[in-house]
Amino acid sequence: MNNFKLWVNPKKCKGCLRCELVCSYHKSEHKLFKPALSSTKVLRSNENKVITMKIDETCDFCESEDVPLCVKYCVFGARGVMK
Amino acid sequence: MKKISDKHYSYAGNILRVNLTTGKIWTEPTEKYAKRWIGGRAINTWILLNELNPEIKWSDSENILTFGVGVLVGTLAAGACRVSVDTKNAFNNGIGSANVGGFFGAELKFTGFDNIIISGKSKTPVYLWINNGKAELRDAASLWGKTTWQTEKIIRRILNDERIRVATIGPAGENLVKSACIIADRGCAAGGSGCGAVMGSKNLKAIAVRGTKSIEIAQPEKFISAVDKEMCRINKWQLIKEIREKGYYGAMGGRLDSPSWEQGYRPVRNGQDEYWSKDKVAKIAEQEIKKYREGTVSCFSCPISCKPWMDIKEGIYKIQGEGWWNNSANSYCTKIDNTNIEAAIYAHLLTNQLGLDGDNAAQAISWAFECYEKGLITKKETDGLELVWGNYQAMLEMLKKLAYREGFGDFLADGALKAAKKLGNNSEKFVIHVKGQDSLDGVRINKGWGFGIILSPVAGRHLRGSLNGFWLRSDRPINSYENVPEDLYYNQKKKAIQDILGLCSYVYGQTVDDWVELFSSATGRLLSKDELLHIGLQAHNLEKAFNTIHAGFDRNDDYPCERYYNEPVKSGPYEGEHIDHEIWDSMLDTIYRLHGWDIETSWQTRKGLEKIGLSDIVDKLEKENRLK
Repeated sequence: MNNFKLWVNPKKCKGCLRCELVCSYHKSEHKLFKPALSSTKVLRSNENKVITMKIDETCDFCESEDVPLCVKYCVFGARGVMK
Repeated sequence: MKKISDKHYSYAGNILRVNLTTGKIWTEPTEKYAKRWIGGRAINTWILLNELNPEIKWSDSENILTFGVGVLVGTLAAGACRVSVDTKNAFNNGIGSANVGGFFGAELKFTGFDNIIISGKSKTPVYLWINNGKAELRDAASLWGKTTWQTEKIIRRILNDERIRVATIGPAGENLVKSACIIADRGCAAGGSGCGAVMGSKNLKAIAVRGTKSIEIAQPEKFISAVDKEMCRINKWQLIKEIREKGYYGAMGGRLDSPSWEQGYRPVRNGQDEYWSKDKVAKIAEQEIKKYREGTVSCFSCPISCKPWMDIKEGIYKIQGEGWWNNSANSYCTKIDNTNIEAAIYAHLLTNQLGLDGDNAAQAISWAFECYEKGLITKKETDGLELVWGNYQAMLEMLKKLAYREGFGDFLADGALKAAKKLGNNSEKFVIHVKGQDSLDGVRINKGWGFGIILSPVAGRHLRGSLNGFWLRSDRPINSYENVPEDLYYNQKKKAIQDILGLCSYVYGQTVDDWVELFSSATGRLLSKDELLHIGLQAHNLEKAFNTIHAGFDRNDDYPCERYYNEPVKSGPYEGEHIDHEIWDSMLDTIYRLHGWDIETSWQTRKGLEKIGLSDIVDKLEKENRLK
């Protein structure tokens, strides 16, 4: 098991939800895009753009990957890894 | 809902059908249409072409309103979020088509539906609630009269879920204003063609969606590899880095040195000119916009984040919300010669709330300003408003009057051309329209851009392959006619495919080769680049046929309006620039020939249609005596 710990920065997040998509892809063993399955949840308020980012206990830190996929696919630098 | 078949990956699998007159709701498999039309826009057009009689008008209950989500939406493909909304055009009864991003489309697919096809008319206001494969009509009495922003908030509160996505009309749609649009996710507009008015005519206030279903990919590793390859290229591009920071306008069109300002092609004072002086541009350019921008936000699955978040923190125009575009600068600044940027930002966010398409609405209003300038109308007709160039307070009042059909707003609510016919006095000569629809853009300088706009089946909208000379062909001056019809012919096919796949045109750097890889690996259906573009060609021809059958358009409708065809540009580096009539005719001949259409009438021919595999629409055209 890897020793990843994740950090998130809502101020950098743009709310694209690519993290949710790729997390579900990982959790479905590379078969599905299903945000409902994602261990991370991102919600942007349409009223004031405030973003909340959560990672729940079902996250396995992408055991089989070199880098957690939600980090790899975030182009805005809103997620990272602490070792 | 079951998948349509194991071989139809990347689809939700079903199409939702709703008859608002009877309340009947049913489904059909997407597979019925997907083999031939792939998805989104093309499925919508095919259904409209086959199920609507030419006698039906846009506001008749028999008209059909369609929502089609692109095939790649719901996946990790960059910018795959777009939905095509297609119906009869409220301005001319030809094809109406609007395209919207945001989150609504992806959420709709996660409910299990690729398209929604809505017919009939409800006796009372309703909204459609689609939740994980189940759909129901709900009473919308309490929503009627509410703005789009209020409607989203109320629906989320009633259904107790902040992740519900809402596409709704505002007061403009309810009041059948022709410039009414449909607003999704509070800031994304399905604008143009009066789609919001069609929705209002059906007493359908909103569609709310929430889904937890999945999209399955045929060849996941190949698909991810295609996504990675495209992203690798996109991420290296300096322009993309700037857009992420400043938004599309801040990084491109809003730059002081943007060719669109330095050279022209912005519609100024109702299109009297296409060049705005530098001192005026400086007041609405990036250096000013950034004072009100609080970062940028993305649509679903978009790694670009081109939408600025605008926030006016104090004063009479205190407001916040997403978006400020090139079009906004045209609509609320150059068109009426306004340099008050706070009022302009407020106008943009106000139109979103009212459910007005800014392009259409501002065009009609700027025509009224010119009527006032010419003395054809006075304060008596305008309810006391002084429609003098630069009067932004009057512009804001007019937007409200338009949405509510109040006073002089009612006079303008069916578009400038209809208003001009009522007003007379040669006011029709300076209506900026294409095929009856109020049109935003200048067309005299940027020839590729202009030719695409006039030739668009969606009547004067630039998202049918218009060639932006600044970005696509830097090797030729923007006023060059060189290769314009040939390039437009190609781009019409390409744009159709982009819409069918549900990709956003602001994801710069995408190529058709990228799309082939993404499409093939996502769906498991191997199509070559040529095969994909051929379907794009067919899709474009469906819209052409719809216009011929339903609106009777012919070659005469493929010319610019009076002002743009006969008056030269007044100032700037392209002062005196005009449209050469002989070359325009020659370009029409060329593009008709490329399509296999009749040169004299522009109508499609039996031979041409059979050649591209559309022999089954020959009968429809023949029945109307509009086949050559």
